[in-house]
Amino acid sequence: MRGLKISSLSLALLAVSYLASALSVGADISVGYNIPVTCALANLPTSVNLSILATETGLYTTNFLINCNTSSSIGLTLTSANQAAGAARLLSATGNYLNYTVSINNIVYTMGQSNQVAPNLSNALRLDIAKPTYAGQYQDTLVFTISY
Amino acid sequence: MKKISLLLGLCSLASYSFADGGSFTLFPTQIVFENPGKVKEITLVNLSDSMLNTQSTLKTYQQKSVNGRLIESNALISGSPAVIVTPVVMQNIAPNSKQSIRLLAIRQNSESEIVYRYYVKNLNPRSVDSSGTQFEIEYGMVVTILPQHINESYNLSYVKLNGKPYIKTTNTGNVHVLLKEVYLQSAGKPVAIGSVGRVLANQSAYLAVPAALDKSLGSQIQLKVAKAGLINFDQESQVQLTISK
Repeated sequence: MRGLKISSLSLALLAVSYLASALSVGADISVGYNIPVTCALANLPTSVNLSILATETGLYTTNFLINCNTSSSIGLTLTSANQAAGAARLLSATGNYLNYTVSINNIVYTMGQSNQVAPNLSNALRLDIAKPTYAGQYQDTLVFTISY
Repeated sequence: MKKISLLLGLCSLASYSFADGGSFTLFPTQIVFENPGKVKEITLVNLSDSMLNTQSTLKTYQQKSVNGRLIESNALISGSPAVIVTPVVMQNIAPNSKQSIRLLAIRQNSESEIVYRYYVKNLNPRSVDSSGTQFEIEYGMVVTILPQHINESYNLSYVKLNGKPYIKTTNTGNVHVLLKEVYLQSAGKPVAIGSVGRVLANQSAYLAVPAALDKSLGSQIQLKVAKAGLINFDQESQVQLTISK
């Protein structure tokens, strides 16, 4: 019985050792080909209805999380339908835009530029929209592209 | 009256709704055709609690070098695509249900790889004159048609640009390589210096070597590279090699 216990313990230690070696650098890591890589966006608003009032300035900020269940980092690109630089367009006029600032885990990056989100972690995404003094309703579509 | 207008305006400003944003997933996430005439299937799953509409686009995968980093600069396909996708638009996919997408490769090059980025985007209903910033999620996966004659080779070297040290990766083959993490052996321990990512044929990527790490390296640098398989991209392997400084 004691032998069996020792044997079980040895097996458990062997399993832990094997797992540790598999996770360490230098080991071959294999994950299934058909395992879906899912990126979940939490607290993502479907839309932000920004109707700027006359003489209003400041910053509108929305925070959300992205978590991808993958063994390596994944590319994330945020693009605006209106301009490559990324800005919401004033509906009733041309030439007036709201400017975006995007950051992932407190690192600011450019709209349209691919960035990396860490694997199996909740990456904090923050979108700031600067409010100009131009009154009116603004329209845009922001696309989050997750690239494998 | 002014107070009511101001109140309505503030209500309008604050009226954004939180939802799951049309969450969905796709698998597998890499499509590799070894021969034309084959059909590959992608499964789309609606993870949201509402009906899902999606649209797909196929673009030519291209890269340009910006400050040593390879940036995707994908373009619309000129001429007829080498892969036919059906359906392009998927409507009214019920929550938790699946939709199959079929990709058919119709041709292959003899010596060069055809690489596309296949995008699937959720479409939220909105009227033309509606205001606000709308959010959409899009997935982009790589679709590859391998050449008839495959030459998978790449070169790693230590170079200095403007006095700063880099590990340069050059794809000397005719198919792209996916190099994930690069480690340098320092004092017997591997130190990660970053991810190279995909490198198309005839392209080069540069990874900066931190100055402190560079000082600790001898004349012979031992590298470890986490590399994804060509056919099965989810199968990672470690490649070890030594290069001269």
